[in-house]
Amino acid sequence: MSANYWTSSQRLHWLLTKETLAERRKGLEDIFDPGKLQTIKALNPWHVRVYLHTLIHLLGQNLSIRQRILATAEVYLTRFHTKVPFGEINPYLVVATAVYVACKVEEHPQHIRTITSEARSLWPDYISHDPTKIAECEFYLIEELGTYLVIFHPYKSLMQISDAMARSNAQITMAPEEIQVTWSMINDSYITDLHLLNPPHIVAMACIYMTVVLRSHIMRMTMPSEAVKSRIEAFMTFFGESNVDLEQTIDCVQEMISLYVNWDTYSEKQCRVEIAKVIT
Amino acid sequence: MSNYRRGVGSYSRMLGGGTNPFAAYTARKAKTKKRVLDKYEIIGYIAAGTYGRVYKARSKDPGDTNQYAIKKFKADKEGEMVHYAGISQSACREVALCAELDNRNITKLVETILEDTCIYMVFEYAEHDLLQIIHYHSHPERKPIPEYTLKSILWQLLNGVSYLHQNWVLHRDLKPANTMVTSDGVLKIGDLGLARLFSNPLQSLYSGDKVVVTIWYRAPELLLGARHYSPAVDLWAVGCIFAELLALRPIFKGEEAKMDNKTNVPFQRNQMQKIIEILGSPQEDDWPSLSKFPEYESLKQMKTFPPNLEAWYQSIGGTNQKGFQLLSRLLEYDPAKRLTANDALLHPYFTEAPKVSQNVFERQEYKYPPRRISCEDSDIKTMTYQGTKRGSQGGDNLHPRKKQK
Repeated sequence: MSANYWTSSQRLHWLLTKETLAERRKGLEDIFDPGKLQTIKALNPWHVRVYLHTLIHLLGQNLSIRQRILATAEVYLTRFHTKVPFGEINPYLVVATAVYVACKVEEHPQHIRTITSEARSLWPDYISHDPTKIAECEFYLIEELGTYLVIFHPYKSLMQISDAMARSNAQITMAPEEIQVTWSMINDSYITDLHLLNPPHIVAMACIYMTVVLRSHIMRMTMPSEAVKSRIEAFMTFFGESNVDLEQTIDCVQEMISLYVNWDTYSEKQCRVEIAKVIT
Repeated sequence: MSNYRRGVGSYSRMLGGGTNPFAAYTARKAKTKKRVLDKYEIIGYIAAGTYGRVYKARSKDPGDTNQYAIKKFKADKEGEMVHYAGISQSACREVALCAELDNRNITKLVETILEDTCIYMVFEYAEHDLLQIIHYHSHPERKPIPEYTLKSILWQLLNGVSYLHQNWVLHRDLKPANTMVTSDGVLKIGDLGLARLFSNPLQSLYSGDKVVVTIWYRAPELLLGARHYSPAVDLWAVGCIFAELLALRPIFKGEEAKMDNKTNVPFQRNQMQKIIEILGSPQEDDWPSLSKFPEYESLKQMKTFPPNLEAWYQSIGGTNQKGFQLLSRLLEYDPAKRLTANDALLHPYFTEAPKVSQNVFERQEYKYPPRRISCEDSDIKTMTYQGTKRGSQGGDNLHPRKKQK
């Protein structure tokens, strides 16, 4: 379990196929009346996801919560929304609850009153003074997650894969900036469905691929372009020999690219206004 | 619906007016929600603790003849009002960890039901536990636990601990009352309310819970105020349980010094005293990091004793030399030198005859009485807990023993 992704609930109960995920989401549309459904469908789903991501990070920053805990909270949120459609429960409340539960599970508990007052100071229009609302939402969140709360993240895989790269015949040492860039991409990956569809090491490999291959200009500052080119070739050999599923990894890369393309057209202010229409 | 009010301000006013933000969701879920009493029939009440209560139950599915133990965590506040107060850290751990664990020697979680501010964890039922088995062998007259039984119990206990540690889980509250045995003779480690992951902790284990492990089973490094500790704390507890199975009474039965307030953890002098009397005073030669412990000065002020475990072993009738070796390696002062669960499983004690059995009751004639079930107070849905006062008082175990935490 905890040491082993392969026997974890994440793999046994919460690894979905694209088809299952699409069916689940389609099934949830029936619960809204046509008017509300139309308002929800008018939203750009990528923008909604980016918006929720910024909410979690804003609350996390104000509470000085570590990245891994926020990542756990984001996985909870994504799982929750495969069972309970966005718009059925006040999303600000769901976000605060996901952070509250993630803090407990990651052994960094925050008092429910602290979370409530911090969330209220950020979103006074949507969060009441009453901490029992988060406590009640906690029940629904944990129930919809099937009580599976232990989450595996790609951060550890990133360090393991970069170690393996350095030790392999390819002898590629990731520069600190590269690790940093990859780390940030992993943070962004929580906006997508990648963590419902892939084991963590695939997501890590996809982000490493994007850094080493697609953002090789990082290394061009300190390396001649010929060396960068042969470094990419060496990486591709390492990747090919690594037994990490190539097709699945490239799928993840494409998903990340879609995210970044859609992010370019994102406006937080506009998204906030549109979401307000859905939930009021 | 056309009555959605537009704009942000209106929602804020709705919050103030006590609108239920879950109305649509709960109405939708009510249609399909399976409630605990739809699925299970309560046979009786087993025990109570600070967390809530445990009930014996059977499934309402006629095809399912298994029995279950349902652990009900009470909501933080009791009273007439249904009140959500946030799930306790302990319940959250147990729910999260038990859902991941799967081993023959760990109590199996069947499901967790969340309903009306309460959490119901449904476990497979175990008829016996080590506290009850030890009691049976010491009352009314003393009749030692046969060696093959004792050895199989210890092996299965170590096997469960080894599984936990391989999965980076520290149990932190091993004791006879938390060690169940099924009627088929399979040992099951239970009560993971204090358990936690130790891989990659975001803060030191100490800062999470200042006091862990029931005092009689608490390792010396914890008594000396260790901030960072390791799986070795569980192996010390296993050593204490081994000794208790042999002696039929706790080996280090100290008196707990009470916390004077919530921030200061007192030095457990009496408990340390009990350990020193039998094991002798710890020496820096054997335990190089000894002087670095916060309570080292308190320890130095204590009267010194020579090592005495062998005499203790003989005094309780112990004759098996390999058993003695194993015990002394489990009750090693220095946690770095203490046997790990995996090493203990490979100890020669287990390879010599009699052989370890997967059924601890094999080859023996003792008939242990079934768990006592009370049929009063078996209403699982009641909101008040007068029962907690007369069961094990505040104890996190299933037995009327004084709470030692």
